Amino acid sequence: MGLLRDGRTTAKSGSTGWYLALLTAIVLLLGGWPAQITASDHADPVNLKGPETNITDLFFFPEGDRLILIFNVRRALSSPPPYDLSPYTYEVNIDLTTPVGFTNASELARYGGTVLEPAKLHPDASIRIRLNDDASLKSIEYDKLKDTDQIRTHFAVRDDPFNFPRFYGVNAITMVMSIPRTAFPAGQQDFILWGTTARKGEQIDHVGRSIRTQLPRFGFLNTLKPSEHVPALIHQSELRSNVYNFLKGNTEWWSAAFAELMESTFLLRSYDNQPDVMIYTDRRPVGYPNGRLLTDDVVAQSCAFGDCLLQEISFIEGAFPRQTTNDKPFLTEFPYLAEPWDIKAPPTPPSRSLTPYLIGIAVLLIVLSWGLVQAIRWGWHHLWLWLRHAYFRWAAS
Amino acid sequence: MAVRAATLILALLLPIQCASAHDFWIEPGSYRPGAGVALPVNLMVGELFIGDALPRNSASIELFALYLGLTAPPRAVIGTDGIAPAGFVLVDDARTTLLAFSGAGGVTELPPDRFTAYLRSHGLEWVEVERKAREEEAKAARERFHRHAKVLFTATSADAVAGRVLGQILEIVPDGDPTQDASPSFSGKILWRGEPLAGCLILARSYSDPLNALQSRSDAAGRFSLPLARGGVWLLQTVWMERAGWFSGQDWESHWSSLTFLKPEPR
Repeated sequence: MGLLRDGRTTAKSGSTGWYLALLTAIVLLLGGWPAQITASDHADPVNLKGPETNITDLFFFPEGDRLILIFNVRRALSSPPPYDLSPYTYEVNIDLTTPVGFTNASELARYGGTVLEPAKLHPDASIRIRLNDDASLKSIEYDKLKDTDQIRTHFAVRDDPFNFPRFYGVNAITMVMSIPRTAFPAGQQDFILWGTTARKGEQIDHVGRSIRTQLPRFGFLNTLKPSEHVPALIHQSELRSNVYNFLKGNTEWWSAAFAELMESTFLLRSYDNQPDVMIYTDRRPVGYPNGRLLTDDVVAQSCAFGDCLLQEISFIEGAFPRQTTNDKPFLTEFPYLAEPWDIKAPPTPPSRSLTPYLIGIAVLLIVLSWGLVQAIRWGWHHLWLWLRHAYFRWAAS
Repeated sequence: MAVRAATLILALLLPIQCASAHDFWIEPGSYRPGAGVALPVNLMVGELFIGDALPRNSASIELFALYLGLTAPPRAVIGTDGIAPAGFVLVDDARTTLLAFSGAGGVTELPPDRFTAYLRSHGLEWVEVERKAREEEAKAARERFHRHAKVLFTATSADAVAGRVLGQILEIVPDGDPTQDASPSFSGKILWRGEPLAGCLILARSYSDPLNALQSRSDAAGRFSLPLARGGVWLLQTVWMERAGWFSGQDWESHWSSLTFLKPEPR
């Protein structure tokens, strides 16, 4: 769709059609829309170069007069230390002042509430953690929290609490904090949280509400601040909708088929335009998506409201009936997470490479191109000889 | 609540009486969005604020854009074909913003009595006169209709964009910024192909009392005024017609225009 004078838009602009066709071709050639997927969360299929940056979970729930915050990284951990943790900063940010609404039923069910002014999201308090390579604490900084001497912490390798077949029997690097209510302003009821990992100030991964940025259509959010999420979602939505509308609007059946393929995986949905943060309020019962409890079956719960990718994978990779609880019982008291699984040999990585095939295809294409050029050249040459011979025969007769 | 229930019952009955005379307006997720909200925008067809959200159809869209200020280039409203809401837009909460739509509606054919009733209800008696002059009053009327709509988003401060002329074929242009005007009145002008339109009936419905519409006729300069005595969401709507072109398969081309906004409580 193009803009005409006075802002009129048209779907019939020729140059726009070519642009969309080119963009579509690039998307299809790339086999989807993975360009922005530079980081990931828990079950994301992207293979990170630095797995210690990979956030796996963020939990937040009240326990008596305290609030429990659990921030986990490094999925599918089964190897012994040392790990590559020292270059990274792990940070949890808490916004205590941006207003949250609780009247929109759809957003309440999916996000635990509505961030009423997403452009104003900001950290009012932060916790910055550096870890040693054995997963013990190297340093912790509390920014704008009170009574920090009463914050109880635990940093260790423990059972991965995410209820998902791929992560049964493996561990995660866990950061558990029990924070007194007095660390926050008196009467504070609403909390907006998000976690990040960074290296030398550059954000690598992000977590807000569970099961969000690990979905393929949200990969681009991982390196952005929450206040930048909605503009980025709108921008991506525009790009993808234009391609989808173009494919859907063509007469060829296969064009519509590509559009439908795109719809379920990469097209942003009408309920996606919310910043990726975790909302917790004392006004409503705790449990996903109002904060997150260790026992929440977030895969099934997010499927109930429109995101079923992980639910399907849990059936594909797991047993029947689908398990709805973690593979190890949680502790009833601090640090709540189950004891770690024994160290075991990591799965053998694949030894086959695509590189020889790619080189072979490239060589084949070069040879075919050369052969085609030679065939055309030979054909023209002999056509010319035949025409000249025919002309001379005609002239002689 | 009782008023809304009565409106709903009336709206359910109305299609039997005048199926073609469905209003068209823009209904956003909020008339006063917060900073940085991605606002869903529905294109509504119905009666008395009760209707269906139309799925987006890019092929029929001529204009669907957000305007900030008098000179800034408009931003196209994004959306996915076949899905409602028809669009999403990122709105600023600092100054009033304007969103507009123009697009093809469709064609309809009405028996003469229903077409006459529709003309009278929308102040188009001159069309009735012309049909008589053409000896068409006993014939069914074939009509192609077009839709134009605007919505103003309330923000912290007023902005001249509210009165920006966009060039819609039929356009309602308010004087000043009605989202910040607490006086118990509304004035503006109606433009037809950019020129003042005289004798055009304009209706104003309040969301809280949609059954009792206010009405006014534009004067020779296309100007009109309405006593909007209460705050809340208001829908202004008007219809104008022209004879369809020589080669058209229709008899009449109608243009439906609306403006919705949130008026502050009068002081």
